Amino acid sequence: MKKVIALILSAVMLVCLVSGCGQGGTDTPDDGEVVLEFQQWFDNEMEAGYLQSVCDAFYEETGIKVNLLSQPYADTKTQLQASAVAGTMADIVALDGSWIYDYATQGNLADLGKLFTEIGFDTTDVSMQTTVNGTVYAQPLVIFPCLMAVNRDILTANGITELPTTWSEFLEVCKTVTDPANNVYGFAMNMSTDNATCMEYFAAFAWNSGCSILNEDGSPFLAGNEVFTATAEFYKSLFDNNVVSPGLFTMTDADKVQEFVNGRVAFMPDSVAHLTNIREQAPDMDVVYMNMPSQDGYTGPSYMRANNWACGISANSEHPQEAAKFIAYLLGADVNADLCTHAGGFPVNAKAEPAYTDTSAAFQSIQEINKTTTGKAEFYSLPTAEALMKVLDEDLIMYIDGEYDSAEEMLQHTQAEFDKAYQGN
Amino acid sequence: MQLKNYNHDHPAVTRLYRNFRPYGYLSPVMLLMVALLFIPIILVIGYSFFDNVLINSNPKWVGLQNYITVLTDPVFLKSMKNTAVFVVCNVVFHLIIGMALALMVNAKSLRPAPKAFFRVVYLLPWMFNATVIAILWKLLLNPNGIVNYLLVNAHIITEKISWLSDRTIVLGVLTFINIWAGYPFYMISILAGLQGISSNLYEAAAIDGARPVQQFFHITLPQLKPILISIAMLDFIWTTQNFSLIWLLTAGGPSHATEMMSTYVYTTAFMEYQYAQASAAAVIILLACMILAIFYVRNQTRTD
Repeated sequence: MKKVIALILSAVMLVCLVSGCGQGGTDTPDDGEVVLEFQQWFDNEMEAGYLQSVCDAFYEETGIKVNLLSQPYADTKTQLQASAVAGTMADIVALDGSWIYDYATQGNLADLGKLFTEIGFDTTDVSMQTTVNGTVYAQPLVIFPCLMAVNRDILTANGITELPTTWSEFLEVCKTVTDPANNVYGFAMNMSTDNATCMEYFAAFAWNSGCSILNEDGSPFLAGNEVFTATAEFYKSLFDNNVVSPGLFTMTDADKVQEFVNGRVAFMPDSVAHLTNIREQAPDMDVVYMNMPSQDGYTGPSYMRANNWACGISANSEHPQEAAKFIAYLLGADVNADLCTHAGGFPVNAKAEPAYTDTSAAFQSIQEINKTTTGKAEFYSLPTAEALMKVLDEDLIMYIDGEYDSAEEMLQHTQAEFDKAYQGN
Repeated sequence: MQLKNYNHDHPAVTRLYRNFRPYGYLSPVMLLMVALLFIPIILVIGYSFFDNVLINSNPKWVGLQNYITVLTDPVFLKSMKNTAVFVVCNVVFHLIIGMALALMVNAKSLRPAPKAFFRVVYLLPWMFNATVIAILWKLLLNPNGIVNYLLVNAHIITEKISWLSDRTIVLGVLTFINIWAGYPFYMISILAGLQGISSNLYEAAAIDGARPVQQFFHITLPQLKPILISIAMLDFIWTTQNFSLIWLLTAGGPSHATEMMSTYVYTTAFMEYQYAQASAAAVIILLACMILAIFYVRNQTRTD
C-alpha cells in the first residue's frame, strides 16, 4: 500500500512540476499592448536611466513597451546561453560579435534582413550589419574602436614626444620607458582565458600590417601566414626584452586597466569604451590613443579592431516585427546619435551626428583614427570563435614560455585546432 | 494542519490516512529534491549519451562516444591530474592546519580572552566568499604587490615573482590560497570534537604516565576519528567541485596549468557549446564524488 501511495504521490509531484515548468504568462497583456523584453549589458555601461528613457520614448511613439533585462556583460553571456538552450530567449538580445555565428547556426536568431523588409525599414543609411552565410542576424548599434591607450606622462618623462608607429619603434619606446625598479613597464595586455577575445588585440598588430587571418573562402589562415607569424615573433620579443608588465598570462581586462590607471604602464590595447573609467580613476593622466603599431615597412591602409554593441531578435519571439521596429528606432539618425553620445562610441547610421561634448586630447585622437581606419573583426566569422581565441591564447603563452621552438610550429598547432572547428561545423 | 478531521471510523480510511500522512509531510522536500536534484542529474546523464545535445532539435544517440572523447582529451586528463593534486593537498593541509589551530585555541594554558580573540582571527578566512578571497589574493600576489615587496626587501627573492602567471608554480599558489580559505571549517569542527572528549580520559592517561604526544595519538585522534573522516570526505567533495575561486584567480590558465575538471566542464559547455561532452565530464565528476559520498554515508551509518 505504501508503495502505491508513494508512486501516486511521485506522479502527482511530477505533474505539478511539469505544469509549473511550463511557459508562464504572455507578452501580450489583456489590453492588447505588446511588451518586449530586451536583454543586454548596455544599460550598466551608460548613465543610470538613460536606456530606459529611450524605451519610454519608443513607447510614446509606437505604444510598444520594452522591458529592460540589464545585467553585466559576463552574466548576460551566461543567461543568454541558458535561455538559448531552453528556448526562452528574450525578444531582443544584445550580442557580442563572438557569439553571433554560433547562435545563428544553432537557429536561435531571426533573419533581421527579412524583418526589416517586412516593417519597411530602409537600411540605406546603416553602415554595418553582421551576416552569417549571407543572412543578417545581428545589427550593430554603436561602434567602439579598440586602440592603444597611451600614458603620455610616462613618455614625456622619458623625453619621448613622438608616438611609435612601427613594431621596432614600439619596442624601442617600451625599452626606454620600462623601469622595473619603479614598477613601470612599456606594455600590458590582458591574456587571461576568462575572456579570450583579448586575442583580437594580438591580431590587431597583424591586421594593421595588412594581414588577414582568413582565406578568401572564409577558412582560417594562420599557419604559413607570414605576417601573422611575424606578429607572434614580435609579440614574443616584447617578453624577451622584459618590457611587458609581469603577470600578463592571467591578467584580466579589469586588471590591465587597473595597471594603466595606476601609472605603471605606458601602452595598453583597450576598447575606447573604457575611456570614461580611465578618466574617473586617473583624472590627471595625459591619455591619448594611437592605432596598433604596424610591421616595419608596411605602407598600406590602416585597420583596427572594432567592437560593437549589436542586437538580434530571438527566433522564438512572439513579436518579431515589433522587436524589429525597436531596433530600427535605435538606428534612426537622431536616436543613434544620442545613443553614441551617451555610450562614447561611434554611430552605425551614416547620417547620425553625435553631439560629443568631449574635447579632450584622448577623445580627439580616437575620432581622428576612426575617420581614417577600417574596423576588422575576423574571428567573428568562425564557429565557436571564443573557444578558438582561447586556443590561440594558450598556444601563444606556450610559445612565449618556450614550449614551441618557433612561431610557425605554434601556429601549425593552432591552425589544426581552428580547422577542426571549421570543418566540424 | 487539520488532518485529524478525517473520518477515522472506517478502517480503510484510517489505514489510508496513517499511510499517507508521512508522505504528506515529506512531499514539499521530495518535490524540491526531484525538481532540483534528480531531474537535472537524470537529464545530464541522458545528455551525455547524445551528440549535439541542446543545440540540435534531433540529437543522435552516440553511446559512450562522448566519454571516450573526454577521457582521451589531453586537457581533460591534465584537469584530472590537477584536480587530484589540488584536492589531496587541500584535504591533507586542511586537516593538519585545522587540527593544529584547534588544539591551540583549545589549550588550557591559554586564557579566555586571547582564546576568544584567536578563535575569531583564525575563523576570518571562512567569512569571505570566493570573490572577496580572489580579489584579496590577487592584490597581495600582484607582481607589484605587497608579497613581492616584502620578499624582495627581506632579500628572500631578487626578482619579482608572477605568482599567478608562472606555469611552474601557479597550481601550488592556487592550492595554498584554497587551503587558507578552507582551514577554519576543519578548525571549528575539530574544536567542537575536542570539547566533547571527556577530561576523565586524559586524567586516567596522565595517572598511567602517558605523555602529551601519547595522549594525542591514543586518546585525541581516536576520539576525533568520526569527525575527521566526515569532514575530510565533505572537503574532498567540495574541493573537487570548486569552480568560482579557480575561475576568478586564473580561469584555468595560464595554458591549462590550473585547469580543473570543473573549469573544463564550464569551458566545454559555455565556450565550445559541446554540451554533450560537458555532460559526460560532469558525470565523471559526479561518479568520483558519489564514491566518496557512499563512503561518507557508510561511515555516518556505522557511527550512528
